[in-house]
Amino acid sequence: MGPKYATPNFSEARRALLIGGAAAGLTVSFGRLFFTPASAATGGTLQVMAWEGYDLTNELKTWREENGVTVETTSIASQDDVHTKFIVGNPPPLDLAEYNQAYSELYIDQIKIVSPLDVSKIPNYNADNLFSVFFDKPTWFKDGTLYGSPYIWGFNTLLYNSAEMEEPKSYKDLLKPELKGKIAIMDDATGNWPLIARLAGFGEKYPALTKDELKTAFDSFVAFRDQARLIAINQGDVANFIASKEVLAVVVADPQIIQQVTAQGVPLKMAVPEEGPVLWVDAWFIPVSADNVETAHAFINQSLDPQVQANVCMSIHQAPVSKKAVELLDEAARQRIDYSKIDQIFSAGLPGIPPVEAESEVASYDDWIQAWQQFKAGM
Amino acid sequence: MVSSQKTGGFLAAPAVTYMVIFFVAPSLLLFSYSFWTASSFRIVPDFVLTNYLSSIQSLLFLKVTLNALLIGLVTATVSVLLSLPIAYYLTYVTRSKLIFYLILITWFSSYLVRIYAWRTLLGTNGLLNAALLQLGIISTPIEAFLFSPFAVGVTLVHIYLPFAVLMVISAMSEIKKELIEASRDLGTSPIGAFMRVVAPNAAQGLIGAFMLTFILAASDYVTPQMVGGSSGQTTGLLIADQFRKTGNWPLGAAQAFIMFALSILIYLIITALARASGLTRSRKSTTILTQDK
Repeated sequence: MGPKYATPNFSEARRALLIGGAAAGLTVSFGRLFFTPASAATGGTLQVMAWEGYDLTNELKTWREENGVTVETTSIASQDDVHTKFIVGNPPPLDLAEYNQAYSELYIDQIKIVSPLDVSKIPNYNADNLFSVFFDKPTWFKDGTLYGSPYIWGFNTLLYNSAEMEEPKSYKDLLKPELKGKIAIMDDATGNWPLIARLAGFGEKYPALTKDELKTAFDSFVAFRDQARLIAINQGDVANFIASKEVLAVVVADPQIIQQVTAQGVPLKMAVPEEGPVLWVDAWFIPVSADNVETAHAFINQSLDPQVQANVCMSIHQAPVSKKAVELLDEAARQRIDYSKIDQIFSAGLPGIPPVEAESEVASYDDWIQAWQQFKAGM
Repeated sequence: MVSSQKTGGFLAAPAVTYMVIFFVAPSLLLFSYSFWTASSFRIVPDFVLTNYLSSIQSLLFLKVTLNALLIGLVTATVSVLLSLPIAYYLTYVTRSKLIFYLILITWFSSYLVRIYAWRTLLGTNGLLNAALLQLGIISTPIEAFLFSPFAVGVTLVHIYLPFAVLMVISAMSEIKKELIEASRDLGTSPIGAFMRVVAPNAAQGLIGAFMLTFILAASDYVTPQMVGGSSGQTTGLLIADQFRKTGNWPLGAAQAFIMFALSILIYLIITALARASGLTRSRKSTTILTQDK
């Protein structure tokens, strides 16, 4: 059996965002009341912000016990959850956080919330272990300094109930009359944007669409909203509706939910429509406000261990940045992606997010957010 | 007298201190943010009205705010209306603890669990559709039960009805049963006795119940989002997005204070209507009226 996903034709990235959540609290305003000195040795409490399922809870259990490390994880509902915590003074006591490659420039160069990594403390970060597309690449490595350590990658794509419908060849297949009220859209603004642009014919231009093009793109995506049963607030939400057969497909979602849904007897599968999936790479970074820097480095190092990489990728249906991990994957996980063509997969590069400060007619990040809010509100 | 004031101040001090630190001060801070500006995920101290002006000129903001107000008004109206007979029954007919606890028992389950329960009940494969199908009332499941204004209303009333019941019971419990009996003896109908004795005396409590339910429902953005679909987008969600997604805290703060102002406006309108309709009278004047009869 050949690889399920052999010759991808995609050029954009952004991972689905998990879980809706509560409004930002005023507690941030009060800041950190107590100063905690930086730790000099591995151990103690590590404050981590990570996507649900990506925090290595199971994979690093032994390591935590051996080193006396307690990890306190805050789940990321959207990538914005991370940087918006740094907007006002008194940054949060985060030691480690995940970030999508699209936010690299914003984090490193613009709002400067990323501290340089000490590569000597991350021995698993080396050219022998990592695929070349992740090692010392400009997205994470600038001016001789490593800011982010690529950790995991994958793609969000169309997921469908294979027992109830045929495999869609295009996202537009979801607009068939018989699927009216049977599809879901993730409330994942930046995860959907690349697809919205592609469906309107602006895929090559994304994320630098003009305001007119942005309007055109969202106008064309309205057909999907009219077809959708729900705009799911998080992955668990959409998983429940697929498991109950309330919906049969979700436009763009994290394949992580496949395991959860299939465990409930519903054969959920990935489709790779002609418009392509949405590629992403997540990296670890140590925020400037980190206390337990030593342990954060040790955690990053462990996350790049080939066996840990293989285990987490099999668990959440994603792909390792460690090439040594590939041979440790089970057959199903190894077949899902043709790792021999990884250079080709990443050949189109990894795009960023719309500009936070746009010039002239180019739609800004805020414009995209507002367009997404209007879309959700049925406008 | 002085000693009494000192004691009162001493007893109130912990709660007042708590509220000043954790409500008043953050609210003032948030209010000051509403005049600042945001750029590239950075907040810049300033004094501009742009956030307020852009909000009230935004069709999106107006639409979701109107939606939030409607959700709040409908939920509050239905909750108070439903709580009236229950409260009357529990106040004047029976002091049944069983019924009282049955009303409150929903609070023993998580807020989110209750929302998910309604999603299960109202879904196309849910209990309501299944029952209607079984009874032959419908031939195909009705999708509009879920992700609709109907679903938002049903779920919010279920969540907030106990609040209204408690407040209405509290208001009615201060009205002596003898007053109602006297009005009946004087020839007033049961409805007349309720309208002329109970309602005026309980009016402040009813308004309180209405406003509490209104504020809770209008600011709730989780329930509408989870069961309302595109009809469930409210100002609360928009404000949350300003804080969580765009990083535009000043705009979010301004929108929060606009909602605050609208809530006060609703309160003023409700109290004015109650006064104009003669519903709110002082207890003294009501007693005199009853005695005059």
